[in-house]
Amino acid sequence: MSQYYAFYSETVEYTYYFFKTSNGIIYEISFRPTPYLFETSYPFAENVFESVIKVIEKSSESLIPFDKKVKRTIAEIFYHFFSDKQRIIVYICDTADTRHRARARKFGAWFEEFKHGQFVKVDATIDDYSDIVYLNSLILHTDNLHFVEIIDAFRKVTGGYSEDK
Amino acid sequence: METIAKTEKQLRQERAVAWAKRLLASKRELEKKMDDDVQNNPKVKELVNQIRKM
Repeated sequence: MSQYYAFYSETVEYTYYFFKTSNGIIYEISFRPTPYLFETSYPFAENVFESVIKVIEKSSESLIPFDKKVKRTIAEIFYHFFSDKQRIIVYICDTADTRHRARARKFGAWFEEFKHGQFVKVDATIDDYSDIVYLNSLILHTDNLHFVEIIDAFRKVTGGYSEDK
Repeated sequence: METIAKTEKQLRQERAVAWAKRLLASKRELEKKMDDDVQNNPKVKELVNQIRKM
């Protein structure tokens, strides 16, 4: 097997997936509707989700060992979530521990490996003129009916964009 | 005109920062909810217990 088996469930509040690695680490990937991120008058507003990838359990405080099956499993979870091609994910790298640039690079590399020409990621960097830079990404399917409109809306709320196809 | 243009740019910037802060706060709130659910939501607890036993 090139990936781990993932469990999936949904509540009215969010959709979540769990999987356990051969090292005993349990991951959770959650998607929550966030229609308020864009103007609610947009026809796609109800399909906007935020996403969190989180380690919820590990056996020790030591660093998590590299495991190539983890990224494949996460990619499969994203494919499953995007079985509805009208869904849109908006992602922000947390700035709390100043490792947000490293996270954005890692996420970007994963995206490049697994996009398979089906997905587009649009990145936006927002500088608040203190020392904080917010790194945001929008991910959508190329078959999304509102493809151009969504990217324009993302550009509008973030004040500019660079497209990564 | 330059002053007006600069003001519009600043406004766009402020709105973008506010949007990013809102998204970040929402992400942190979701992370907290995920932690709480693993501890307290019976359905999620049961699922995680099953996964632990795998």
